[in-house]
Amino acid sequence: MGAHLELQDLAKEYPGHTALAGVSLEIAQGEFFGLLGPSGCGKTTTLRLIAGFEQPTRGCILLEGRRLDGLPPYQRNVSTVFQSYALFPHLTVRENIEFGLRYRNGEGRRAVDDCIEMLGLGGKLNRYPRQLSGGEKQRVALARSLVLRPAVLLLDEPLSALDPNLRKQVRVELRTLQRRVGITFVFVTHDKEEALSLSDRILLLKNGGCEQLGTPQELYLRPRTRFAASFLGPMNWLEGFGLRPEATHVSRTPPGAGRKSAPARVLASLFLGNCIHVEAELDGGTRIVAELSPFDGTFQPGERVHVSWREEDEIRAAEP
Amino acid sequence: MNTRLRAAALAPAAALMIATVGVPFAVLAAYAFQSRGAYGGVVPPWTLENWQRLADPLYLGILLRSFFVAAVSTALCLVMAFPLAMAITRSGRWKNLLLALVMLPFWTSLLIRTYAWMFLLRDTGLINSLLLKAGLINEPLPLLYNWGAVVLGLVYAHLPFMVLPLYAALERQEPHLLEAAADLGARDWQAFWRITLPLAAPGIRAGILLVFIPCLGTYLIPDLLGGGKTILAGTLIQNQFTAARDWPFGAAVSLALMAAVLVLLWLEARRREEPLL
Amino acid sequence: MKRTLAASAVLLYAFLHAPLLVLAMFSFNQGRFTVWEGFSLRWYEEAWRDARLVEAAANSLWIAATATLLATVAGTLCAYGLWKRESRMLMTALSVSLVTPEIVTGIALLALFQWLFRYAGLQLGLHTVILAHVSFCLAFVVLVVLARLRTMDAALEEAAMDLGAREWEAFLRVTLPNLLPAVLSAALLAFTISFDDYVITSLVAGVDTETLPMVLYAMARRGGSPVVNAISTVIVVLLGAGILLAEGLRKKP
Repeated sequence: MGAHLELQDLAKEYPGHTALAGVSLEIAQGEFFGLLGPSGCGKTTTLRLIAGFEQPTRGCILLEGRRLDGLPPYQRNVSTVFQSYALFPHLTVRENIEFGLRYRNGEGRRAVDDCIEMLGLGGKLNRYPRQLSGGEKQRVALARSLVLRPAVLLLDEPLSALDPNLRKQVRVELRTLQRRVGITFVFVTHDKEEALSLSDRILLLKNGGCEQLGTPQELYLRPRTRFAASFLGPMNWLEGFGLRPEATHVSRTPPGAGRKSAPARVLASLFLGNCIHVEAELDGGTRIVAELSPFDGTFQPGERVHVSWREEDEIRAAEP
Repeated sequence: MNTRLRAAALAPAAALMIATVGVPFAVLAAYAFQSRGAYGGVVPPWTLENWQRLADPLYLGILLRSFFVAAVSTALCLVMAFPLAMAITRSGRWKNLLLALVMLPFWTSLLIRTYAWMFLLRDTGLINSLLLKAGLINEPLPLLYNWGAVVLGLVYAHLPFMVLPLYAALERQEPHLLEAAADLGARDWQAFWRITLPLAAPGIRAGILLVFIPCLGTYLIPDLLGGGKTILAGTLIQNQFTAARDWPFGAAVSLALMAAVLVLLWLEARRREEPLL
Repeated sequence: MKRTLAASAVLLYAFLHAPLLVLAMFSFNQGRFTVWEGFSLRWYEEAWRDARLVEAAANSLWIAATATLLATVAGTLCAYGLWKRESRMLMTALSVSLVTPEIVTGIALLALFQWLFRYAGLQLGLHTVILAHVSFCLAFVVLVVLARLRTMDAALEEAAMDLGAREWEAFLRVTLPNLLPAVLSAALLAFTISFDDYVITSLVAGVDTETLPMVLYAMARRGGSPVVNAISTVIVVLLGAGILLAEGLRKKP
């Protein structure tokens, strides 16, 4: 697939601080792309630069080979779903959805009806935004953007305003929706689980720069830096390599052949239902955490054990 | 936002502020350093004489008196507004109505509110009529046209300005704090002195400012309720521009008053995290 | 504690409202003096028949309406511009205009007009009054509208532009409708302040223009009459009704 949306050395500087320090990136047509990172890493700035709410100080943005930067937001064939949804409070659901049709005719009424049906908003058309639940608001915001058939849909922290129980469900719905409409989705999140579960590919940002680009599996299992490894999940750092807690095993008897191991003493063992969380101290003094199957039985503090792992699960990450 | 669009949005207001605040104060400043013409008006030479006259015991006395009257009125407002604000905070579902009742006079003409007190206090006013009728007095009490009436009018007119910031400060206080204080052994009034009052400090300061500043520059209230016998800074300024026709001196007094107001405001603005406006 | 608070609140509400209630009551008094002699509307009739009063009231209405319109338009635009990006200079000028004692505003404007008119052959009159009123109402309008804007989600306008609206279309279709209640409150506040003003008006009105507060003031200084009570009552009731109406409109979606 060729590049659909392309960022070339994109940078944004404010007086006294650099929000984005030159990021280059190619996103394919139909991709669900995640921008992940801690707050202040430049992910929201990237999104706002693509949307046109800010102008880059360097670099350019290409959509289907045409330059986008320099154009005002209303002339870009991209659309944003805001973190707050930014539904117009004085307009009904239907009026919100039809807001943009005046400027970009897209497929007009047909598209509106399709979106309303697809997002299940049929019964809510005459309500005002304040009469909607969080999930409904999000669907209205999605519909409002999708009726315009944008080339790229930008989503700013799409799940953060929803309550935790709803998030898992909406995650699945968003994924399905994206497959169905076939539009490129670019979304921003600080939540690793959200990024891992939704994205085809993820760009991890740190201090305005690109830390690692790859599929969720690559980022989680083969992080290139300690920062990437730790940002995507808990890590045990041993000499020269790292281990994920779920790749770390604890047993009373020595492990079988083919596994590396080290003697250790149990500090604490917590039963969490779906797993057992064991903290142990290696004889060298390093503390590790292991996640074991709940069917493996529990350990007592002070008990002597063997910590073991497979060599291929070792994560060799660069120092910083 | 498009800078040209923003400039267009700001232009009318900016032009108006330059024309009706910037230029007039520049004109006043220029007047304040010149001399009074033979028939009024302003003529050269440039001089500091107007400013020296401010130190004249007569005028200095008037300025100090303005400060004193404003301070007394502010203190009375504070003492009266505090229980009122506390009562509103604790009034449950009546809160909005009670708050609106405090705001209501704010929407009513200052002139009418002041006249209402003239109507009550004058020799043939309601209070004297009732007292005479009841046989408690034989001739009307001199209630109007004195300092007491002026302070009463000032307190009456500015009470809402004190209640609102106090209410805002008290409303923000966590109700459990008083329960915690009681739990730790504090009586009601001890909790008031050690919890409620110190936490309301920002509201108290804002209220003092909102009452003191207008009281300092008041003109209408002492003129009506003091009957021309009570000269304050505002009256002095008005006099210089009308009867006395000494514009340069009037300009100097105005600028001095303005300076006092701005210094007060600056002192408070420095302490605040959020802007006053 | 609780009982003391309640008692003082009752007394203070009486202090705040009794004077105006008594004033209104005696506007319906048959007699001239402050002794109740029976219900009558004669003072209202007298006020209505007084040509000077009626003309002054017409002047006041005209001035307040014009000044309100101009101050509301300029102030709303100004608040919008300031919301987009702060301007310290303008903010300071507005704050200064807000805290300047009326008497100082009045003589500063008078000094300006006199100084101008020395070079241009103009006179004090309705136009100078209107200009002065627009000037002192402006800061209030900016204050009220800006307060509302600051609670508004800045993403609303971005969303409108994202959906294809230009800046001015986003302002007209999204910001302004959401701002309307605040603009209405601001206009009402401006109208009240303008309609009530005596101190500044009397200084810049010149000799041929009289407003209602100027006439009332002159009557009050002469000791007052039940006619003043009647006019005061009408003003308070009409402005009160206006406020209730505006509040009602604001509560609607």
